[in-house]
Amino acid sequence: MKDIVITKRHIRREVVVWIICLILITIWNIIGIIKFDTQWIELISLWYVVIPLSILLYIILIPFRWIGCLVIRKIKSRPRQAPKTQK
Amino acid sequence: MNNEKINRRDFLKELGFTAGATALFASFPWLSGFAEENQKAIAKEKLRIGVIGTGDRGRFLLNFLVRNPKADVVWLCDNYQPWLELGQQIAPNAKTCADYRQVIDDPTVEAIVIATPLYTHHEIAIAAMEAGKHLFCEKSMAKTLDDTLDMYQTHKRTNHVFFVDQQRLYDPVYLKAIEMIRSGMFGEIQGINTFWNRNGDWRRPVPSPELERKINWRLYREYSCGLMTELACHQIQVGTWIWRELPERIYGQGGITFWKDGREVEDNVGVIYTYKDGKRLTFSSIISNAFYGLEEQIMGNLGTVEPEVGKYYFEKTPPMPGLLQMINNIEKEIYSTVSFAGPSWDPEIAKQNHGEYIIGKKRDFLDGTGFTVDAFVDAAIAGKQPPMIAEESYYATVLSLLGQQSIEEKREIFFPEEYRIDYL
Repeated sequence: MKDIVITKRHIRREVVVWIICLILITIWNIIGIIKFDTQWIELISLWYVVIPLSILLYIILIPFRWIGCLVIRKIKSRPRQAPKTQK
Repeated sequence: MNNEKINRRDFLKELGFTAGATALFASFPWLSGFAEENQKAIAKEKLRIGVIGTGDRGRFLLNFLVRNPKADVVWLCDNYQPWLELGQQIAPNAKTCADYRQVIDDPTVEAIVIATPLYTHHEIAIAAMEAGKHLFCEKSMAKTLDDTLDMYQTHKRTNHVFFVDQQRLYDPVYLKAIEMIRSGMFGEIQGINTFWNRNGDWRRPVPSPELERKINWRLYREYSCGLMTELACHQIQVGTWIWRELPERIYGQGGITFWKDGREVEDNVGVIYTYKDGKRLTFSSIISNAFYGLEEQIMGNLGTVEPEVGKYYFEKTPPMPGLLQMINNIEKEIYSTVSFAGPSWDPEIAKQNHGEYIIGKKRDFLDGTGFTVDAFVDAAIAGKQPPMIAEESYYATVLSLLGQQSIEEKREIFFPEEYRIDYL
């Protein structure tokens, strides 16, 4: 059985992705506060909605990121065509 | 541990007051009997009580009396033997009789509890008060306006303690609600909708036909005024308590619409009590549909109180957080169906507002009856009539009877000045 090695780099990258999700949901929260003229305290008081939503967004992104990785890997692994020589 | 102290403390605790409770007694002076110093003064006393009427309600009261260490039930009286026997099971040491005069004539009896049919209240009450007894009478006070006034005047003249079982005056939920209303939390109270609905024929099983009118006395005009004196008198009293005034006009309607079983009192009534400036208290009762049960919806411009549910609701609730509103909007866009010919108006159905509990939690006691009975025992031992009790009860009965009069005469009635007393 092959061991899966999770490197520090991997962890850092996943944390960064989740933080980006958190920032996106927070921006959405800010838009909501402005649009519906509610209280700015919701930026803090709504943590119980913002954090689960950011995790949800992170989970939703997993298949897209996985597909993206596959596509990139495919492109990278395609053998380069040898330049045609003139007869 | 002393039961009486537990009751008093529980009562104050339910209201959110600690020892002393000066503010409470200032707002509701009839509760001052529960004050520490008054309790100490009567701590070792015992009140000798005769209970006249040991039917359902009489036994309900009896249960509170036998638990009270300051109450000594010495007589039980009922002219229906099965009920007398049931009463004896609760108070086995009490003497029994079928004639109320025997109880009243006993010089050792200090207080009388009347839980007999409405039409007998006046006769027994007057006899008891004239004999110098303290009196606790089931509501309503009497079957006619003249008898009610006579009972009140006799009480004033004989100057003994007189309670009527208007238990909302001792119900912690109502007391707290009234305190909130007076503080202006719900704005100006513009209207009070009261209703008491049941689904049942209001009959009790009768072992033989000749006992029908004796047992089911509530259903016959000779003995009862039906839903108005049995149910409405509790709810109408709330209006007098809140507005501190009497209605100017009373208009009621009613009929026997469902239980056409030979009864003579209405099974479906509705009465409007109109106060100065057009404020209204309405009472309605249908006993063939129990869906909405009973409630008093006390409506101010800032909020609503429902003491039976034990909750209050503000008109304006804080808006939902912006983010949740956005999520809701997305949900609506996804799940809402396209309407081809929808209504052009939004029906104004009741708001989904879960409200707050008046005493901070769901009520875990039945009502104020136990506290009312305890307060009567305390007041009778101390020999002090608490303020407002007799007066609130008097007007509750008078207003119920005027509602019934309006139903029967099919006309609007103006409050008759001759029945006004020196209160409000």
